Amino acid sequence: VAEATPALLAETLGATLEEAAFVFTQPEESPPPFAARVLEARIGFSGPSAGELRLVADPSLARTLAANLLGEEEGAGLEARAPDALGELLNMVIGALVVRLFGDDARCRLGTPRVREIGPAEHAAGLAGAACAATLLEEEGRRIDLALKLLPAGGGVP
Amino acid sequence: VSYAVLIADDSAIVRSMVRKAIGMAGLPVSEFHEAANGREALEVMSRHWVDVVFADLNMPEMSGAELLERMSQDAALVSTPVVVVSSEHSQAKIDELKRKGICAYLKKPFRPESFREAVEAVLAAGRGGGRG
Repeated sequence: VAEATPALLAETLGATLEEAAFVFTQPEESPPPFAARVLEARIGFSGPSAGELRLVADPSLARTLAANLLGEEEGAGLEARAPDALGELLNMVIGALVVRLFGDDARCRLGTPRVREIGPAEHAAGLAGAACAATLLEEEGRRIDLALKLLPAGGGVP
Repeated sequence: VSYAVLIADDSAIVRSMVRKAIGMAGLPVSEFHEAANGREALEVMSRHWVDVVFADLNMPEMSGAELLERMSQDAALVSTPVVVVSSEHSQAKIDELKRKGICAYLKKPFRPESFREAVEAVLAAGRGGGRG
């Protein structure tokens, strides 16, 4: 059982990106700001603690993730699949994270991912309200954030 | 012998990934069917013969666990092998599903070779009928 820390989020996200989508990343404590609108995926969970996990990425990185998940070349048609790709990666991340946070035998209930486009300011506000967060940069310098928000004990899936 | 396969997952991208992985695992497939949740999966199985189901757990409208429950109560579906493909990594959950009779459990992210093992489990269990 591990404590929720930025390092744990970075490690879990990095491992999932590498294993599922062949995207290699490094944690970055002073990341460049998002310049334009971003894709945000959110998923709720409940168990020993309840909360919400947010995964936010540059849309071009989300397209790369879609291409790599599918084993296809990047190109036309992948734009529409980028939100689904980001949601599914979040689904994979939360599955790995709750076991690390609560242990192998803990009973947890996971929600289903919801994906939308938001502006950089809204994302920054979300980060400010998170219990902990991590930012990774992939090889081309594109940014992806993971933020964990915890709710009081006894809550259901948000 | 070839198999009619049903893939139930709310993510279209995962359905595509599972379809590719099954192909790479070498399972001869006569038909692929897809469903976005458990309710749609039951509808597909009411209209088509299905030899094996690859199902996610967390789906809207009807989850994979509810789908398994409904299949266990249906004489026509109770012996259809189910492989769960899920992002849930809890060993307690996996053990519970295995007690309920699932054929194999694949954790996401998965590798194509893990599908080969699942397919072998289906064939070894002798429950995947297939069509000659």
